[in-house]
Amino acid sequence: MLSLIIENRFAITAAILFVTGFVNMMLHPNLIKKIVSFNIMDSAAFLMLASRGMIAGRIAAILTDGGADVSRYVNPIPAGLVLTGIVVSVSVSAFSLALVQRIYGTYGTVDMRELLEAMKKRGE
Amino acid sequence: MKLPSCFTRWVEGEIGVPLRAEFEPLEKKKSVPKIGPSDLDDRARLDGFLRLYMKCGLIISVLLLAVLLAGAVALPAFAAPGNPTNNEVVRRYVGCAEEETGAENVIAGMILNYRGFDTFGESCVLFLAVCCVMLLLWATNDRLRDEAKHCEKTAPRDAILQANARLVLPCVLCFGLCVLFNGHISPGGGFSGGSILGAALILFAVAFGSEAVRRFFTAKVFNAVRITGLMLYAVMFGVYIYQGANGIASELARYIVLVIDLAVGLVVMSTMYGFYSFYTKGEL
Repeated sequence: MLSLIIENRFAITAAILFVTGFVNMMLHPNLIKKIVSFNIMDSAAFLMLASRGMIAGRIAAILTDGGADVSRYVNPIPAGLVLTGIVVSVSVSAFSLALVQRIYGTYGTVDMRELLEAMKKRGE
Repeated sequence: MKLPSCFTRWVEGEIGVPLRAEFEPLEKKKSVPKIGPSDLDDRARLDGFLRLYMKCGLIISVLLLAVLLAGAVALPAFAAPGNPTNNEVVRRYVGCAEEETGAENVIAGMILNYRGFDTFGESCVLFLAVCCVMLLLWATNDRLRDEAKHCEKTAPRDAILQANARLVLPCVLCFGLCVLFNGHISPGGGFSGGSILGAALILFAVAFGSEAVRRFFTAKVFNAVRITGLMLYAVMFGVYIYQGANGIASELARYIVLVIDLAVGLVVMSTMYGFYSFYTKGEL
């Protein structure tokens, strides 16, 4: 069991990070902290992907004097996917932060509960 | 630039605003909010809902953790060469990247050639993100803009920051350009180089004030740079695909990778500075 955990340490860390972010995003009333938790979830996904691309004892996928010998380099595909993920994560964070700024400007609060009450009062 | 007031109010969540026609602003109800029995009912219902939400959220999270951990333990071994992810796609990419794309950095060759449409989508996502931030924060946010202007006028510039910026900025710029233009033969590329250039712009704005940036990087230039970047990418990649993608000589393909890297760098740089500028000042 212990060897299994050590062997899959990155995947397990990623799972714990993901759930940490998920719980905070679901249950924390503060909108800014929801966005922070969203970024934690993103990091978990990146950690998982990047660790999948690792191959023990090999070098990064930049061709050096050794030429295009596949057995010298790690898997380049997860690196490209993580790059895509980072860009999307930055964009979504920026967009949601702008929304939160507008919400704060309109309602004067970023607390979920107060926001629900204020919205109800406004709707009446 | 002032957006139409109806649109502003629509963004702020008002329901039933006609987006085209101008109309008289509705009179606001000035009745004093009183707490009647229905309000208390509502509050109790909200409390009950939030409690239920809390419980359901916790149960779902525990279930999710269990499923993820079970999945994590069942994965193939970490860093083993025989994993199913290390399949013929990797062999193809690593084996043929230099020959087909002219890039010694396999990752740059992969994201700009084999997966070029994907990266084009990414650039569009950045472009749209900055458009959305502009829509939400530009000019409609008068309070923020006035505050920023007031701060800029009254606060003295930090001498230590300015002296340091004079020292650091040329190095950052050179490093950013180096990373940007060597993306195909070394670690780096459009995204990292563009972020470094954007960081240099932000440092310049922080140290010398946004007026100094506006001398050469106005809203017009900002729009021109990011649209040029996206169009350059689209045209270069379109030409590349039209030519049959793999039929291009290695030397030419290398230039295409370089130009696409430059296009991505332009988009990323303007996006980074745009985010900073809109969040702090509400305008460029």
